[in-house]
Amino acid sequence: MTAATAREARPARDRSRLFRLAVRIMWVEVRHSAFVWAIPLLAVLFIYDPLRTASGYPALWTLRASVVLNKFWPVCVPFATAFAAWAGSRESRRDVADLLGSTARPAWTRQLCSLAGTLAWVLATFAASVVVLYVRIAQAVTWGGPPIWPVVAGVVALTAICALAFTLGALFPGRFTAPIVAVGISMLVLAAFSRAVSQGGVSVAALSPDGIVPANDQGVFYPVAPDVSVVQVMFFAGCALGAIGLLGLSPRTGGAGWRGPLDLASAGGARLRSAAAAVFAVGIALAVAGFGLAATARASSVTGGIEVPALHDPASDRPIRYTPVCADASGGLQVCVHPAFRGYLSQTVNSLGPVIAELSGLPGAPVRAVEIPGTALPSIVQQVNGDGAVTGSPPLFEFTMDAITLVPDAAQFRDGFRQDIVHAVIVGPVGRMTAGGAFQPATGTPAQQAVEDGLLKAIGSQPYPVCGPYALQCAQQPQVAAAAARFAALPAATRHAWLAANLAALKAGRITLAQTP
Amino acid sequence: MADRIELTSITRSFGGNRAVDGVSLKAGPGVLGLLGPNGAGKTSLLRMLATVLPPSSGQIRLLGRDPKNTAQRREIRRRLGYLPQNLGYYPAFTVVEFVEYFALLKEVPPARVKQAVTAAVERVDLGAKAKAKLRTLSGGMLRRVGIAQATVNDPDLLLLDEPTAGLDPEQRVGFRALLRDLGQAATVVVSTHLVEDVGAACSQVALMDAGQIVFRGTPAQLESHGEGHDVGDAPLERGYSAVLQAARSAPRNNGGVAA
Repeated sequence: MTAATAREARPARDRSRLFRLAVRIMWVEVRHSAFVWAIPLLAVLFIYDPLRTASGYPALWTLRASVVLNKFWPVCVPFATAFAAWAGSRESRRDVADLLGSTARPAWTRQLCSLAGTLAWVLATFAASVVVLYVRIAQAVTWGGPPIWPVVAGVVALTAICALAFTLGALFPGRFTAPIVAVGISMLVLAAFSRAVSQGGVSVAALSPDGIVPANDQGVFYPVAPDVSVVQVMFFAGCALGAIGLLGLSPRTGGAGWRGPLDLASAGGARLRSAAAAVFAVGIALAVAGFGLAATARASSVTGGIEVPALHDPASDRPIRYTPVCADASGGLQVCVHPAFRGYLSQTVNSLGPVIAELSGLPGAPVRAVEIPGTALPSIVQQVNGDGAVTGSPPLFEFTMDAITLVPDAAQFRDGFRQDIVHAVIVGPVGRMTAGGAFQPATGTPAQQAVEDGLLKAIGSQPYPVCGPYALQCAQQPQVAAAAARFAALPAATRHAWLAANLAALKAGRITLAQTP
Repeated sequence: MADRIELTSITRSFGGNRAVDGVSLKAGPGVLGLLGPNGAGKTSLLRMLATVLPPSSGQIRLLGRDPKNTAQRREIRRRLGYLPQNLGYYPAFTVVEFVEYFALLKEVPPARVKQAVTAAVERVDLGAKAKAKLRTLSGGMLRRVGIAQATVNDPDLLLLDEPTAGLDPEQRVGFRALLRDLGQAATVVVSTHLVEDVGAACSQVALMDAGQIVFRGTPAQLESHGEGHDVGDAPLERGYSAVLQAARSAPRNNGGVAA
């Protein structure tokens, strides 16, 4: 072997040397990524919105961690796309195409190193923010662990939009490419997905990392199935591979492309172009498969989450074992909540105590209050997004913690529970579904309304300005309000005695407003 | 030693304009000066030699390899240094980073990169500016950075397009010495308008006009063509003008050489 041929053959065999070179090129790109300039602004935005929003949510892992995708991911998208497109258009903007084209490193791998330089900072910023958020959540929650799948989905989705933006920047280089690509992709991703989510569908919406705020007890009674995250990862990984493959196929980066074969300008040659074509094909197949699977997504009636039948593991529908946390309220009522809501137990006890004291011993008055999953509430209560219902014998007040979902307003939380119980004892169920599928609220008779409102006023709750919960169209009559005020003004013992004597008749509708004390 | 550049009837057209018109050329180690007026086709020829522009027709062999073959082209590029006429650069890179970047892209063995970069930067006398950002450098210094990146891989084939543009006289003198030094082992092709550079540094000269090589010989031979010619201040300039005038007045033979 001559010296020349030995020199030629050695690099081809020495793949590890080429890999080390690629890593060093990547390190050069990382050191010079312009994305670094965006990090302080992203940090400020992260603290201003996602971190503050999470702190305002109840201290639950799934709920607070949802800001990673619902709040922070959308913030990252415009920055990531702008800087990726800027990096992608760099070679043409800087007029170094000839200089770089004469080097041995294939254009595709050189461009991928450049993409990696931007992507490394984007993902590092995202990961660092998630770590900060998760540490804050861990300090506040009482149960459970950090959800990982949303983070994985966020990382893959950011990778995809960066790859797409970089490829667009490389294909259409120019001074205005970056802002145009940033605005275009942000509009496409955020607006299209937001629209799909807001329309309530679970098909395209399932692909959106930016989704709805989960229910309070999501991931508490049942594990959160990774189905949606897996579909998102598939779809975005497909988009990323498609964009990367397209980059390798484009004539600007050295492949045979739309403007005819530029074989001589390509350092990579047929083998790299074949690899790029394969990557592109696999990417498109993955994205299409992800889209197709998302179209089959449906809401689970058991767990309350979204499941994809082809990916769904029935084992994930098994409830998570837990030991409830209980405390006694005044009136002998035992209140039990899931340990994830341990921090809300005393608030719940304080909410239910006074109303149980008013109703204790009366027929239908609950002897125990237990937190259950929202999906286990009676369907009529679910229909009206209710928080609880009195069921069974001996009566049991089953409730969810949805009242503390977004507005941790103690009065709303307290009054909602109290009215649920009082209405159940005085009037009965909250309503019924008609044959046509419409909700018909059980507003009660004027006497029932007066006693219900009087009781609530007596224990310091503000009755809803309607006739019972969820009866939004009911206009309360002045005489009902007057009777309620009279009833509330009675001594507690008198109210209780009257109720003990008349509750059956009142509930049956045989007592008129004039007969109320 | 075998010819490192072998061009056979190379043409290159851009639309209806034939920038390089049937050029045949062979060159071994040494410094070849490529002279010619604006639009003569020098840059197009150099871009084809740099494997960034495919010829419309004809055959190219560089360093004994065919650049149409992917593996051979990659090997050519490992052993190639190229300074384009318009040197693009990344303003945020320092001198060392920029040269290192190209060393890595040229697949210089990782263990040798640091040493090669230092040597290349010192070679163009930019050691004191090694850590300076490119955006802070003057045009002449940027040109020297371009030369450093072109030579960082100790190329067997070095292509320099207007390398002395922007250099001050002292730097040009130093650069000519560098060219002579590099030409000891490598084949160096220097495209320039400055005939004094050719006289001082080149062992061979080729003169292009209208896409063709109209003269090929030594600088002394080019000078001899200028005897009795009254256009130009220096002997080489007179030779240059005389050859061009003769070429333009004579009927063209495809890729023909006057000497």
